[in-house]
Amino acid sequence: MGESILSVFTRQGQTFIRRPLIHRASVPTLLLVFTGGVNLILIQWVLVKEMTTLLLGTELIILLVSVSYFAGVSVGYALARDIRRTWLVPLALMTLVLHLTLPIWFRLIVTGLTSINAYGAAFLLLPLLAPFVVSAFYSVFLPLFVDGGDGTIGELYAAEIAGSISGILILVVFGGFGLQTVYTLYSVSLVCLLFALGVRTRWLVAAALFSSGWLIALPALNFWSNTRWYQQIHGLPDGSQTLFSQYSPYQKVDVIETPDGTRYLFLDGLSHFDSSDNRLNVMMGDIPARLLSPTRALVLGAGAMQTEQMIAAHNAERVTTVEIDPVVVEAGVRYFAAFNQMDTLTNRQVVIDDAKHFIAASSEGYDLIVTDVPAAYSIQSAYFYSITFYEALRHRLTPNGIVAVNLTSPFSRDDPISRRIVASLFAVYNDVIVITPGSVGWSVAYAADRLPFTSAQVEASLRDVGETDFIAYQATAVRALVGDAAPITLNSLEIVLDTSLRWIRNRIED
Amino acid sequence: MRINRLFLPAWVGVLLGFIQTGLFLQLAFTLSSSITTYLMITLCWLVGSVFGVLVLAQRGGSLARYLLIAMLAYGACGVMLVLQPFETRLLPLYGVAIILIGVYPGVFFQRMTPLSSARTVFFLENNGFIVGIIVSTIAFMFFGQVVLWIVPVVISLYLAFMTKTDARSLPAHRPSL
Repeated sequence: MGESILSVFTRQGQTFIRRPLIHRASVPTLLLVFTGGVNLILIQWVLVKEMTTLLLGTELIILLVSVSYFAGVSVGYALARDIRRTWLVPLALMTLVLHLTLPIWFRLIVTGLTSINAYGAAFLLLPLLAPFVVSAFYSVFLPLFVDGGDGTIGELYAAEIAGSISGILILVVFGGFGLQTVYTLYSVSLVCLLFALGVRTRWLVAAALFSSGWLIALPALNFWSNTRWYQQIHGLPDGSQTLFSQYSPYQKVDVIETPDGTRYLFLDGLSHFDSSDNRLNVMMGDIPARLLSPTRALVLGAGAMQTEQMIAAHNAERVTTVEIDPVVVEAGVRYFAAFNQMDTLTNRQVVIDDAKHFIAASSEGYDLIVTDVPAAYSIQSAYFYSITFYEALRHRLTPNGIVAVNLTSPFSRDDPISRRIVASLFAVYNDVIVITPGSVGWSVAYAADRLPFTSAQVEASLRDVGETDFIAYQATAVRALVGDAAPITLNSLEIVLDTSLRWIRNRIED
Repeated sequence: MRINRLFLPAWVGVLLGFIQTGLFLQLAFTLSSSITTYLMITLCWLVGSVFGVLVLAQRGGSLARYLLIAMLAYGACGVMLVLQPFETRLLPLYGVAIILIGVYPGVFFQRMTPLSSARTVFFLENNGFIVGIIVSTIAFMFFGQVVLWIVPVVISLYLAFMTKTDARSLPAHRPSL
């Protein structure tokens, strides 16, 4: 069995705890802990992407999902003393079934709750379920074997970490091939775990057969359950279908098409493009392009990339899109070509990069910069509404260049979010015009040190694109409405908490 | 003192929660929020922990010393971000610094398990970590980056004091026969 070490001794009057005789870890034990580490990472990847989407991905949800996962680890540690080794095999088999099917039944739970107007219960149920069914099982091994004398803490902890590192590398290499590939590797790892537990051959074969059958059925079930969820949550009609669904390193990217041909782009369950309603893109791209006829334009954030097409149509020399997530670009190119014309326009380019890193590293000047970024419901996206970021953009503007910003809500004296965003703009730029088109509902701001157009010209452009119901505020009126609203800085991001709570509340009340 | 030692893993967990949140947020804001940054933080932290638990924990050196190294490495990351924002060519240096940070939890677990069951140590540390990530994230939203510095320094001073005054209970190396 290897080297044995007496574990009870005294040293200088201090007493150490009594433990069973500690043996060097056997290969099966190391394999168990190692595969546990691998699978903890792989299932975490699925859980985080799926649960964030199902609960509509604000910062509070991201935090809740993380806490839920680590709470499961604590549950595993707590139960390690009470778990009998004979239970490990049936628990492992149960874990295999629950984990391979996790995205499906999680979605169906939320769909079912929504159908009885109890969507809010999902915010409680999923975080309570996840610790027990996702991360607890694999967390049992380390304390179970260390305290049982089946290996030293050094070798067992190192084995678990090595498994975690391997899990991460698996995701780096294979994550882009989709859920089916990752689950295949997960199944192989769990079958190895069952082998290390000494499971009989017939159960190993049964587990392998179940996994194989499920993996064959998974793509169809994945798309079916995905569609059902979107139909229920977003009110999409029967007959809708999922055209594309993938976990990127950053988010879940879905493209859904309804029977009438309308296509939607969803990121972490939140709508980012609706092909039947492009008015926001008109305000962000077409209107400023009409007014400026920009030579070079920069759009931060891809989505369906229709904004860029609208700008490019005004004979811009080059329109650059910066997007951190290549999967979003892939979805845009494959499924929204009719709206972005990426396959035909020659004055377009896409750069895969973090927008703030691109701005800091770039030396190019732009006549128009459009910030087509998500609302400030996460810390990462709130950065793009901060003074720091607007100052960085200012350095990338040509002398007559402007910034177009989506205020993510209707600008009014009663709306703290849009007021704070505009306050941030005024902390950097002298001149800000805000428009609230009736066809959009949300407001858009154009900002510069000195705007090269007047609000009257903006209003004329709005009428040119068929907008009849709108409000346009000049800078003095904008300042009056902003009042004493505090600008967003990197040291005051409580807007994220406010926005997160508001979005959750709105969703539950809908 | 005995009760304080019992909850030492929890405080270590809180500290690690703050440091990890601090690394993710500060590097995402001032280096890049690409997946490369997140992978580097996670992988280097884990590599450091392996090195700590397998190699360094067996050698001399008090826990307080490894804690100091971790905090200095954390500070070095902050200094690099201030001096060279968005300089992704410094990624290898950040990686080395994060490995040094990761060494501390590895050494800590190895040193603690003679004194308490692994179950207790890991349970307390993990719960402390959960508290750390919650408090650090919410505090950051309200007070900014200063909490990602002040709180870890305060906690590490407390931990250094606890491990120094209780040094005989946390041996510098595993006793051998």
